[in-house]
Amino acid sequence: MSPSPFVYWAQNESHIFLRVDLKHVQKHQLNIAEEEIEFTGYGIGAQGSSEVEYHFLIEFFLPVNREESTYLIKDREITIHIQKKEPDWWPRLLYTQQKLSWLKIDFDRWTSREEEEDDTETEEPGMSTQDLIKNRYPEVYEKLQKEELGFISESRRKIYLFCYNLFMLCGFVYVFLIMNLRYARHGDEFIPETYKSVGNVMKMLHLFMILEVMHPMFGYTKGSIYEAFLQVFGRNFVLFALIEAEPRMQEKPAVFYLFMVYTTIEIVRYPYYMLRVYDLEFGILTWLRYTAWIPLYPAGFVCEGVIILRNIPYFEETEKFSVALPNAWNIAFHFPTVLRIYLLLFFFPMLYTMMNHMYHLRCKKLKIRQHVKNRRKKDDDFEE
Amino acid sequence: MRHLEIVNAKSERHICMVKGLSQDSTIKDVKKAIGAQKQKYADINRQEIRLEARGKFVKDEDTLGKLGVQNQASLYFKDRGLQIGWTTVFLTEYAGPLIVYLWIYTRPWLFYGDGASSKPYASAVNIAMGAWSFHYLKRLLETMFVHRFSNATMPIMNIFKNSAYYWGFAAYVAYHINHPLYTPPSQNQVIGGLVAFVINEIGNLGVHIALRNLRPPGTKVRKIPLPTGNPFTLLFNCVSCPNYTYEIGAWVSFTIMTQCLPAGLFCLAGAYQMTMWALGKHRNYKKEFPNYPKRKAIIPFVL
Repeated sequence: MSPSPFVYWAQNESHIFLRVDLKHVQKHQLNIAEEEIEFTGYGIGAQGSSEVEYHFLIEFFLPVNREESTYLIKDREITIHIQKKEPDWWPRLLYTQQKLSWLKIDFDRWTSREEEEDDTETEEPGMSTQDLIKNRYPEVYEKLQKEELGFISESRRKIYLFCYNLFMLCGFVYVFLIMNLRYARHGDEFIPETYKSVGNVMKMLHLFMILEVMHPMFGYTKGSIYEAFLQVFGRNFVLFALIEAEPRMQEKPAVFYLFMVYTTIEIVRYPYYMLRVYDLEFGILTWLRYTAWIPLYPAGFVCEGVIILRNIPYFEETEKFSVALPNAWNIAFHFPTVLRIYLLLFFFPMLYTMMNHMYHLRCKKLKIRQHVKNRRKKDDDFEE
Repeated sequence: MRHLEIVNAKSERHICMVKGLSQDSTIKDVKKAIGAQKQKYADINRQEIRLEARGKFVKDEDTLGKLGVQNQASLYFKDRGLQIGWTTVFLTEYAGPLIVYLWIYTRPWLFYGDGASSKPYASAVNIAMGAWSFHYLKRLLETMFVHRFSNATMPIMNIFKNSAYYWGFAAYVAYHINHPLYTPPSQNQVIGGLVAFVINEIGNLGVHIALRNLRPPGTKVRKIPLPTGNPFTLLFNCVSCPNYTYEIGAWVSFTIMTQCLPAGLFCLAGAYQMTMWALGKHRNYKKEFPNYPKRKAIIPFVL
């Protein structure tokens, strides 16, 4: 099997550059295919002093354009320009993870761009660097521009998010204060009046919360659109379909307790987000945000469960949200049955899933090492 | 080539040593050797071999020489979990809707109360039963005699998820159509819907057969699908996955035929899933075949 010459490689976003260290190349065969390049030929390599047959085969990481690729046999080397099919940086040259002893990175080629720039400045002294870059390297110019603009809209994004979180915090602090002050003043007499006094503010805040589904959707925040949707939908469903829709429910104590749970969670969550917008964290606030759920999630779920349970007979009577056969679209929807199915089949699994999710988030954020049994694949990926 | 070390990709713990292989041994040979030593992995479909701990899996057909695996190298191992055959899953998924729908159709008193069978079914109800049963019978027969699967197995949890979807929706749709208070649409709408349904079913079958003939038996060859002699396959000129297009068409027709919103919801759910699959397949085709013809993925001229 013929030896392989030294091959040096470099890349930019759109091309691969190969330099074959072979002098006085004769009787060569160089074939560039879409997935690979193969060379056979006689020449004097780095080791040799006489002509020997050399051969190499390189299978590319990704496909290349045969037609747009060129090569030049020079006296001391062969230079090959290969156009990638898809412009994108490659983590390596080869399709497989092999380490080939004759394939090396061409450091000269990687840095030669700066040299090129220096040359052009002397050629066109009248042009500014910006125009120079614009004319010679349009893709680089575009990239820099995007980054600059991104910075401006980055700070606007942060201001918006900060204000949104601040606004929501103020709203929930207001509800929290009203409820606590009035309860302190009137005691148990206040409880049936809860919805009357803070219901409207809660409804407004939860409608605004729909924005929290838009934020990940439009890239304003990281995070799962799906999870945000579930959270916001769940809250609004309880508030509008279960409490607002049934006046008899509004005076029940479960509403008071539920609102206390909601406001307490939000008073911790929103300040934490406000800080995160500017990549800040206060230890105590982070701890609170990732610990408060331990009593509050079960408390909230139970309050919601009670509200659902006590609403079943009311919805059987009013038949609100239900559709009976016969009708033109041949659909039957019995709301009380849906509520029953939720309580029987979904209540406990959902509570478990949410608490499990928060538990793993907590361990990750507070850097707590979990017991081997509790670790999941996702956790291991993070624990570098 | 003397031996290889097999190491757990996640924990980097040693699993076993595999000996007696050569440059021409395939990954499949490696897997069989692992299975011989570790009873748990006797089903080689469960094994996933990687060259790097976090890398992509290597194919069974590749040889150690092609991948550049040296003597005494380590190969990384991932357990894919209990596997189940595609054919098994498909047969279970499709038998359910047939059984569930027919059970409700033939024994309405079990679901609607004792008076349910007092009036005879409207003709639309009988036609719907025929269409539904035909669809799933066709699917069962295709699974047994037409489809050629690329992968032998899938994770076992899939059979529960998929069956819940198919069986659940079957019950939901069947409950409404066979209900004593079901009101059929006009006769014209029923006939029109039925005709459209049949056309779409034939189209779907034609495409499945064309796809089957694209791949020689026992191979995992991949070719660009193109129209054949069957005029229904002309849709290949417009979309990558006309089988899904026809399937969506069939369910839209079924919904029009029965004018039943639950059937419409089932159609929507299926259409969403198939669109995701079609977009993925279309992307893969374009990546794999550089001269891939200009087509859409699932809806002609649109998506």
